[in-house]
Amino acid sequence: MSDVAVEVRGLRKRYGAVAAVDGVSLGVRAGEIVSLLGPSGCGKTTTLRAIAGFERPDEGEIFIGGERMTHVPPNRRHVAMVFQGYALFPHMTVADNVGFGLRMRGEAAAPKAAAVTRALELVRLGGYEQRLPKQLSGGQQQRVALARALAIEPRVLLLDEPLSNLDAKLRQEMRVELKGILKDTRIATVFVTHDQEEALVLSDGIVLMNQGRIEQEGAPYEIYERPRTSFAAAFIGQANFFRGVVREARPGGGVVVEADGLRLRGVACAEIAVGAPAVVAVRQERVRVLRASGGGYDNLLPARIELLNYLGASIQLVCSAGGRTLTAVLGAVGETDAPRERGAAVLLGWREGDALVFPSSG
Amino acid sequence: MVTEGRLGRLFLHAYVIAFLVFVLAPLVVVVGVSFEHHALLRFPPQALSLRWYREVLDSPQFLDAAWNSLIVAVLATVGSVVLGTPAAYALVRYRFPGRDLVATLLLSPLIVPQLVVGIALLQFFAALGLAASITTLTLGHVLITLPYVVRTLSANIVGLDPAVEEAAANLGAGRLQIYRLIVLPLVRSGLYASMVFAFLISFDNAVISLFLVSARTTTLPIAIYTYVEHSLDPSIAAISTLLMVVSVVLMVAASRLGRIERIDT
Repeated sequence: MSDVAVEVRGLRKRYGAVAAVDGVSLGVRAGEIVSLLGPSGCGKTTTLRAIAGFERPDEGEIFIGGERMTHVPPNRRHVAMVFQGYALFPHMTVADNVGFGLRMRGEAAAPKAAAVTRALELVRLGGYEQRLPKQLSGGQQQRVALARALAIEPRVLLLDEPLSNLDAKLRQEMRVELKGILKDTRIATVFVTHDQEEALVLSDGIVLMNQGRIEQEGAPYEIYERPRTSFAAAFIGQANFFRGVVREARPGGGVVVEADGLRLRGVACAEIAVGAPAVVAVRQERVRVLRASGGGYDNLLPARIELLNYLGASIQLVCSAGGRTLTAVLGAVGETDAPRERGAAVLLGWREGDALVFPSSG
Repeated sequence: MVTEGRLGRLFLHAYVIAFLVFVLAPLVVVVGVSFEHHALLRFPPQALSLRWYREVLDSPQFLDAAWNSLIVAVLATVGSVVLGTPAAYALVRYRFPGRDLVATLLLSPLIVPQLVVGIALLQFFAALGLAASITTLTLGHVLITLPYVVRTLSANIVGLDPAVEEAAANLGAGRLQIYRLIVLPLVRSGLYASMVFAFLISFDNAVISLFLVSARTTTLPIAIYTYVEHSLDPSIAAISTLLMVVSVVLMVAASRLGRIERIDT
């Protein structure tokens, strides 16, 4: 308990009739990076802003470093936030921006200057002290915002989509750099993103949110490999979906789902009874593309290749099978014997364990 | 096509020149008349002299009135900026019951005829038993300059990213520190502009002042008005020219300061 840097208990926040956050609880330990991942409007940003003190919870409690902070104003929480648009002070130099938090704490000039230098070196911006924010590139502004937050040595670092304003190449570079910095400083970090890849790369733990609730939480590997809901399976990675009804359920999780005349074998990811409506999800990289015979696959579906999408490191095949569209991904280097010409008749095959079956709500 | 473009441009130039002549001609006449030596309103002036400037600057009647105007304009400027800055901030940043009503009330002196405002203030102060003084005059001027201050500053505050203020709070700044260190420096150019507006509007207001001045608190526009009623000579032109110079200098200063701010931020 003592090393939990930030804890949210039963947070609820409504705007009018809409529940933006509807009973969210989570905890982050020192040195841990947790991302709040979800589509826009899922409540991830509201949760982050409630931790920072910018949103007043309707219900629930927020603890920072073991102290109850629910009603403490933002300027006395000792958490630091990196804003989506950086929110640098445009009329102050880089040094004054980074030193602002220390100035507010009444830090003397010499230790303040030393801390500013340290923070700027951490983000590799030494020598930029006297620049104004608008004289910096987007990536540099992003680093200043990070340095400004780190300079106060906060108990918790909050990042609100910090990379979303950068272009794709820079975003990937900053992602790696950010991870290095966060791991070095060992500050507990809560990180809001809608980008699944960002969450998978950066986080120790992912909290997947949907409509104000936590859909699933766990390590990136768990969320990806063992999604517990069809939402989780759909939001992370790309999958093929079948809707149908459970026809058989064996102890151990194996089920058979009938979907438009197809009998699909899969494993149940949650409790599901025979006769219940179900959704089957098969990740596109788990679909094998075979020429004629498909030994060793529990599910086989004749199909035709309609489109080839060349992605550099991989190739995505868009196939039609009896009126439905399925996608499969092949490595560009391996699997050279797999058919990859448009119009080719193929068999799509996947194992029982790769077909995830979820109860369907609708 | 080429000739058409050229014709179009010619027409545009002619239009711009005509417009400038229309706006500036009366002013040029006033400036010209002010340099006429004889006691005649004559344009162009035939005998050049600075006689009327000397007379104006020697006249206790005009100097006292100018001094009153200056005091009232400075006080009204300070008053409307002090009241208007928080009002503009609140109107832009917060949603509260009655917000639209407050916004309309703050701008209403712009909409209600000044004559009506003047009469209303006269009756209001009389009902309170307040005699005409610099204070009542200043209060009246604050009322009519406030809308300009609120409008100018609102436009500036709308352009401020609220996240910047949140960032300051997040780093430990209290409400007052946020205003002093973040908001005020970032709306500085708007503050300068609204101060110049308020000053000029107060300094040359005649209609409201007409109802609120006493013999001892006569302002410059009222003094000019009274003077014109019984005599007509180029001293009026001279004083008008001086007023114009003050306005132009203030406007240029405000736009310079504004520009310097924009380069800084």
